[in-house]
Order: sequence, then structure tokens, then C-alpha cells
Amino acid sequence: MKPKTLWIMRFVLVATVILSGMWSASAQTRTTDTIVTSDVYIVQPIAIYKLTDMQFGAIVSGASGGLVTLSTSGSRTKTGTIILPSSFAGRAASFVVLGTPNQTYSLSLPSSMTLVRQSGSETMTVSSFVSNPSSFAFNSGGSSNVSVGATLTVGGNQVLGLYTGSFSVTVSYQ
Amino acid sequence: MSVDVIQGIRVTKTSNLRFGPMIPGTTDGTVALDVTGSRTQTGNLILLTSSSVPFSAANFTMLGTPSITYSITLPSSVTLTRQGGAETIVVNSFVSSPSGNGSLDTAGTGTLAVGGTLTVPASQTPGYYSGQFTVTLTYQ
Repeated sequence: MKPKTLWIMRFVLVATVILSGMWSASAQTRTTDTIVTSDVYIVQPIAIYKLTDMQFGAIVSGASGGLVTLSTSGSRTKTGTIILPSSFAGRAASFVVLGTPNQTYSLSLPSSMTLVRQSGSETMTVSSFVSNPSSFAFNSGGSSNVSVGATLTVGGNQVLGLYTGSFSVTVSYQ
Repeated sequence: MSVDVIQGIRVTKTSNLRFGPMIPGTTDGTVALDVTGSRTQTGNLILLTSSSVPFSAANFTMLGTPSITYSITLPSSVTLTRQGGAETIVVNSFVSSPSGNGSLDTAGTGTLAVGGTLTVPASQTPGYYSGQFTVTLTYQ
């Protein structure tokens, strides 16, 4: 009797196992995994600091006046009746700009500005601003030096005096 | 002559989840990249635009059994680590289009877009941060 019972039980056990396998196969799901990268560039704020103001130095206008061009290295050239004494030389404006290493940035200069005589109202115009470099990027240290020159229009027999004014330079990431 | 037999769904990624360049604000902020690839921010961080540093949603094309349906599993968050450092920044609130479930068309093709939200603390160290996450499609 015992062996017969055992045989039946064994058969039932095997049948159950087979049925379970079939159910698993029909309920099988598949998945597809795709790996995605996410990234971001966290950038330092941009800052500009003035090192030197722009100086056209001492100028004698003469009867006709003319133009005084200040280069980005601070040297001056003149036209017309202008004389440039060396006693008071010119100096370019200069700045250091700080930001994200190796990043390009943009720098804007005014198209023109006006100098006004101290204790007076006479004016002279400064225009044709130029910069060195002419396109801008930070070095690997996040620093960039810029020099700015321009051209001053001097009238004939321009009233003597100290003429001053101010202009803005704006920097931003492109 | 060759034949490419596809079983199930083949996914091809066409762009990663890229947040682009930005400057942290004076307060903590967030940048949400939606499924169309548009960025919106909270806080006073500054979003920059640079042709050499693009931003985009993650985009995928799919090819497989016509009209097959699938469910999409996105991570709850992913941590990005600064290149050359150990600082981290977190992306969460993942979204997708389609959302939850989708299906391929009668030609067996489909597309998927994934966006997410980046949290940008005011003090976040500048640098390039990256990380990886998995998008899982489940289907019969």
C-alpha cells in the first residue's frame, strides 16, 4: 500500500510544478533600460574692476584744433595744429574682468562721451572707443585684462582747463 | 541584403537631460526642464544661453512591435557630481511625455521625452556637474 500511495503523491507533485511553469511563462514581462546622462554648468558671476582711468594728458590745441588718438597702450597721436607736450602723457583705461575660466564674454563700450571743463561749461567729445583685446575670454585662471583707448576731438583755441567726464563699461556672459 | 528583427521595443536616445549654463543666485533656486526642453526657474539665479553649452530634455526614439503598450519608470532623483571635485547637485521631479504609459503606433514607432528639476543652492561651487540615471520601459 505504501509504495502505491507514494507514487500517486509524487505524480501530483510533478503535475503541480508543470502547471506553475506554464503560468509564469504567459505572465512574463520584459524591460528595456536606457542610461541617460544629466549635466549642468554652474558658472561664476562675472565682475569687472577698473585699474586705470583714461587720460589724454596735456594738449595744446592751436588755432585749428584737431584729433588726439589714445591707443590701447597709452601712446598718443595727433592731427591738425595740436601739440602734445610730454610733460603729462596719455594713459589708456584698463580693467581686469573676472569670471568662469576659459569662458568667453562680451564687453560693451560707449559710442561717445562728453568731457566738461571744470568750473566752466565748455565741452569736448570722446569717441571711437577701441579695446585690446577686441574679443573677450577668460584665461584658465578666470581672469582677463582689457585696455581701452579712444579719440578726442579738440576745437581750435579750445578754452584752457581740466576737462573731465566718466563712461561705463559693461561686461556679461554671451 | 540584411534584416533587422526587433523583439519588443528598441530605444535610441537622441539627447541627454542637459540643464545648460547658469549662475547661482543669492538665494537657493530651482531650474525645471520640461519635456519640450524649456527651462523655467525659481529664485534669482541667472540662466545663461550659449551655443556651445546647449540645454535639452532627454529625448528618445522607439522602434518595435506595432501598437505595443509600455509603462515608463523614471528615477525619483539623480545626483550630479562636480568634475574634478566631490560637490553634488540634485535633479528630481522627473516628468515624461508620454507620462506613465505609452504605446507605439501602427508602424511600430514612438518617441519619449524626459524632463526634471534641478535644485541650485546659492552657495553651489562653480564647475561642470554630471551624473547618470536609467529610464526603464516595461512591456509584454
